[in-house]
Amino acid sequence: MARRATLATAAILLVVIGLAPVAAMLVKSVVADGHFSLAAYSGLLSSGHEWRLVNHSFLLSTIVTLSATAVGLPLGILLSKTDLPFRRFFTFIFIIPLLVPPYITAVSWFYLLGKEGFLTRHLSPSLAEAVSGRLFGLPGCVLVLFSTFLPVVMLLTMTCLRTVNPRLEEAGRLVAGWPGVLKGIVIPLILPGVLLAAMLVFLLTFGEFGVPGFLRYDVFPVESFTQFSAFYNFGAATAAAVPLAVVTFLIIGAEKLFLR
Amino acid sequence: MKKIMVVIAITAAVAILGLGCSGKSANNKTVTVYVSEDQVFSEPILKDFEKETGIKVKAVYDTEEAKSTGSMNRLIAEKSNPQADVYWANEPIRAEVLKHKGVSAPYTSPNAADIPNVFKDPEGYWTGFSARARVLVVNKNVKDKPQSISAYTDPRWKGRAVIANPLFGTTTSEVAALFTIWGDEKAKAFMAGMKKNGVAVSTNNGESADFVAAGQYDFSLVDSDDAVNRIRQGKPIEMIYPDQGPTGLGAFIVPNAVLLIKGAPHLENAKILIDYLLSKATERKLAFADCAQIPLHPGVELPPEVKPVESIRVMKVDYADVAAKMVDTQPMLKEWMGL
Repeated sequence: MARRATLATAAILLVVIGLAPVAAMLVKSVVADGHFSLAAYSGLLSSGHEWRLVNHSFLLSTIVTLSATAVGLPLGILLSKTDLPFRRFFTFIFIIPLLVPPYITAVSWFYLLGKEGFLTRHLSPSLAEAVSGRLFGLPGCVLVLFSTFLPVVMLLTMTCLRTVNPRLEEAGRLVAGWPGVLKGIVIPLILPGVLLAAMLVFLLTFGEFGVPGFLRYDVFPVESFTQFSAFYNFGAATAAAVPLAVVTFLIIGAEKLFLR
Repeated sequence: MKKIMVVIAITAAVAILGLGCSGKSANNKTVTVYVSEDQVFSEPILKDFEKETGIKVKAVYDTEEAKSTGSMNRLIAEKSNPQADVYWANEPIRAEVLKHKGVSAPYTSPNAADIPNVFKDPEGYWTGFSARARVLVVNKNVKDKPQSISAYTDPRWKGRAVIANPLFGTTTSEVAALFTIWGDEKAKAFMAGMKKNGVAVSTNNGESADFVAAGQYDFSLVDSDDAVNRIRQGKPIEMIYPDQGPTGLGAFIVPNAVLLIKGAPHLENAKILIDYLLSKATERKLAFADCAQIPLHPGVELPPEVKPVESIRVMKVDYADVAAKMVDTQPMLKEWMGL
């Protein structure tokens, strides 16, 4: 009885907190002037600009995910599997970017690398111009979001490593060196956790709006924001948010499939 | 498991009681106001109002990112069941949008009698007060500083200028104002010329001013409060009122606007608050605050940075026309932005 009640409460909470806003959003996006209408969607899909924005979003998210994983995984191993001095201190230092809002990180990079930034002011004007030109655009966005989300991969890697049974590693050490143990035992065991981290980074980057806004790289969430706050068009705004939701569901579905 | 149920039941009970109480106390001595003017500047005014009148103010402020669209969308959504009594908009165009959507009600405050008519809705659906001007901020190291917004299309400043995203905020209003004054053809040519001249687009006016202060760009068109508070922080920028020549276009003026919500639950208190906001005392406070807003009543005492409105050459616009024009200019600007 109590178990059923708890289950029911959990289900109700999920529906109310998690799904109600999404449902309201979907309903709003297909109703125009009180009638069912797909105008918001046809307007969205027929315009080539939106597809360009979707491409930008995928490109940015993919690069950030790949680079954060490629660096975060070895970093996590380094910080939890070696006797590197000041490991705790370094772990703390590497987490800081995650605690700072990414927009602030972007502004800080501007103060370093802008045309007359703290670093660029010592360069020749044309070189400074080139550096600040790179900052504003895809490379700058990748830099900022990579540094923000790197700790996500690093921390999840470290947590997963803690769950690996040391006996397995010791057994492996009898027949192989550390590289062999890492490759044959540790990494396969923590792979699901690393993939989860990569997925999180992809989704967080895909929905990120402040950094690409500041660094002038047009991504898809801008469309939804523009419809909402420049046109007061709630229907079009939610229609524009639906592709974001679809991508999220696809990725979570893929994760379920592969990590079974 | 039972414990969890008990906890949930208690939480629900407390929540319901809480709602019941707040409902009761909301009746007579309170007023609900949605505020798009920055909270740092509006909150002290509303606190003073509470102290002086004993009416409790429930204020809902817009956050910096959502910038006045939060309140707008909320007011539109609540139209059939209004929760707010008063809306303090940071510009009159939004007030016009709400008038056309049937969200506001007319009220002519006795305190607004000597505010010039251009800054008021003729039917009383909104009243302007404490204004910002659209000004040029120019980096101090720049020689021969630009004196007109036409600098945006002048090849001399190619790649040296920045402007806030024209889809949002006061930049939207100013572009629409230019369309009403110049006509579509000339205004479109201006926008195209600006693009051809390599103008950079920032997310908001404050960011533009910071870019100019950091030397990334030479100048930008921003709101006077963005300029004044950065000058007070000692940033190396100068504020220039554009197009002040005898035949010049003038500077675009953006007053705050206060309006009464149709079906306001606390009508009498709403009117008292509107009268308070439209008083000379409020305008004086907003002039001395860091937003350095320009009073619209004649004869209000001013800090040294603030020019009286009579001595500024003002762009002559009808805010209702500007609001109407925005319906056409927004899709065009979206295209201009490449979105």
